[in-house]
Amino acid sequence: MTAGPRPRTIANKTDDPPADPASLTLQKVSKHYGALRAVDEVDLEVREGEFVTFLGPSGSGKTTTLQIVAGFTKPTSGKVLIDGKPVTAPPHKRDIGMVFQNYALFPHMTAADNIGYPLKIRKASKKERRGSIAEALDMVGLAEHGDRYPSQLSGGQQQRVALARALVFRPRIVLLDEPLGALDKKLREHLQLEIKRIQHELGITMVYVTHEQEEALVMSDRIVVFNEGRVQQVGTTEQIYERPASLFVADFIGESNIFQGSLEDHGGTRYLVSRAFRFKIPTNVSSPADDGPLALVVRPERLRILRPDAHTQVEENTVEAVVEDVIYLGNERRYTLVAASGHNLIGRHQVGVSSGDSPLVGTKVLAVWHVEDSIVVPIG
Amino acid sequence: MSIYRLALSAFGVLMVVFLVAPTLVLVPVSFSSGRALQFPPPGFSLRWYETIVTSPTWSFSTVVSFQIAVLTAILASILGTLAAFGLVRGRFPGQSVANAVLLSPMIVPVVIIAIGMFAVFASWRLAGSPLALIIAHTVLALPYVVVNVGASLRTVDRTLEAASMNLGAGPLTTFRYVTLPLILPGVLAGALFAFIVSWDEVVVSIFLSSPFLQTLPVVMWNQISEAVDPTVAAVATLLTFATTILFALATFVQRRSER
Repeated sequence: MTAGPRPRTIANKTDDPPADPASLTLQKVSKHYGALRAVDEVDLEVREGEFVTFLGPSGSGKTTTLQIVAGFTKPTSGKVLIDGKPVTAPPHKRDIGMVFQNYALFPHMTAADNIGYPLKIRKASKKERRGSIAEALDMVGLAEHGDRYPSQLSGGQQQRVALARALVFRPRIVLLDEPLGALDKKLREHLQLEIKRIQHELGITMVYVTHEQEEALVMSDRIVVFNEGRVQQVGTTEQIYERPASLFVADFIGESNIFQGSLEDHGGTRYLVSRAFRFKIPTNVSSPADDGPLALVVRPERLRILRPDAHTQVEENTVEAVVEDVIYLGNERRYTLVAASGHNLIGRHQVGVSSGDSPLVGTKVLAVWHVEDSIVVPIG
Repeated sequence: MSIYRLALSAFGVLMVVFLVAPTLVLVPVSFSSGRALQFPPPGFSLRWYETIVTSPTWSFSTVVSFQIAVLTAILASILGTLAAFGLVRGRFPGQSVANAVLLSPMIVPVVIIAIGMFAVFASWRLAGSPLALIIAHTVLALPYVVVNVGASLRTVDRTLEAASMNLGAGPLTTFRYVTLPLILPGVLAGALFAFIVSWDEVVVSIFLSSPFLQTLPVVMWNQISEAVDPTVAAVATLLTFATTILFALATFVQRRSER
């Protein structure tokens, strides 16, 4: 048991200044298991009150990084700092809230007792506890369910209790480890917004781990993309989507049409060239330092699909293709095309916005995009 | 119902009768009005139950048995729970050997354990003391606690303990509020089994008892080899009854923990 600071609870929110969110800094944090680099020299800065998402495929090191912050895993090297001060305390002295993937509610305690647990540990008085529990239950919309046991609650309700429990003792940082992974889509979308709302209301610093790119795009102030233990890119949702830093990021976030080739310069105009194609690329693309291969990425919604005899502009790239499939998705049509070069292409057009008829399966078309819509990234 | 199923059921019933009948025969005998162990009894009386209460030998040994069984249950459940933690959670060289040694009293013939215990306690001048009986019974009961608590412990989700730590509880507080309540059914079932082991134990107890300290089963053994009267049947009935209740309780506790 800790003789920690005076219990700070949601109940005394009104008397106190709002919760003082903390900043989180990782300096060259690594975790090696033998030869495996689960986390490899991660540098990161999460600002006070920011909502940051760790996004990456499973095994990319995002959860291990979270475990290091929570204190459950010791880093092989590197430092974790909260508000600029190095943190080495054991997990129970870190004052960091956490929501676990499987909720980790205590099955032998009611929802109210689960939420009251961190307050009991901090020796808050019974009266103080009751007030905070009621407020926390109210915040997550479960005011009537305090006396239920976890087994009597639905998955979504259990998740709310877990969230309330992680917030009730007013931690300086809250970590969430794929908290919505087990829920169905509708509920997940609802809870995403709710978590966002609560984070905003409390002004708390949150780090959220997910492998769902859509979830990351909806919720985050900034996204940290992980792959193979390394941070691939840190940026706002828009930066990550519009200006991915690597082929991995471009491929992992959103759908992409990808062409791989090498850079060529012809009289001031630069091209990405391979045996099958030659595309103009934007002027602001800087040459790779090692002269290595590059990839040109076009988002499906930037791809226009025209008749083969359509007139195109100079600053447009074109590819001849055949329509392989058209899927009607209600709000949009999704086209799969096979280019003459053998590339598979995807196009997405909002229904009712795109001009002209929808091309039929098997017809020849021209896939066209503006040079400025080309994203050029290094490979590997 | 097919003939095959009928035959199978009949066989099952026969087996149960075969297993239980020798025990149940003692129940009517214990209410006998005659002086000898005979079946069927010549008449009905409660005189042999009266003897248990009034005879100092019987009543004293009942108290002794009960005390030793309670202390054995307490000691075995504490030591067994600690051992189960080491075996389930720990990682150390010789772990499987430690596991085998702890469970060996269930496998090694009791008479061998008894001879060994007798030799050791005699040289320590402890033979015939309550301490010797409690220690010996604890050794015999330990495997039941280790198995029961170990099984409970394996079902405890470790992220619950991580969550408790994350919420501010140190290792001991986490054990008290999270782990212990979750394995409590296993601990209770283990304690009940330990009590039954001690309460029923006769072989080791014979070796370690003295004329001044005899458990109930030891007194029964002595009585039946000297004078046969239905008091033994009355005691046996009470023993069986108590054991059955405790066993049912232990099973109930185990079931609840598996829900």
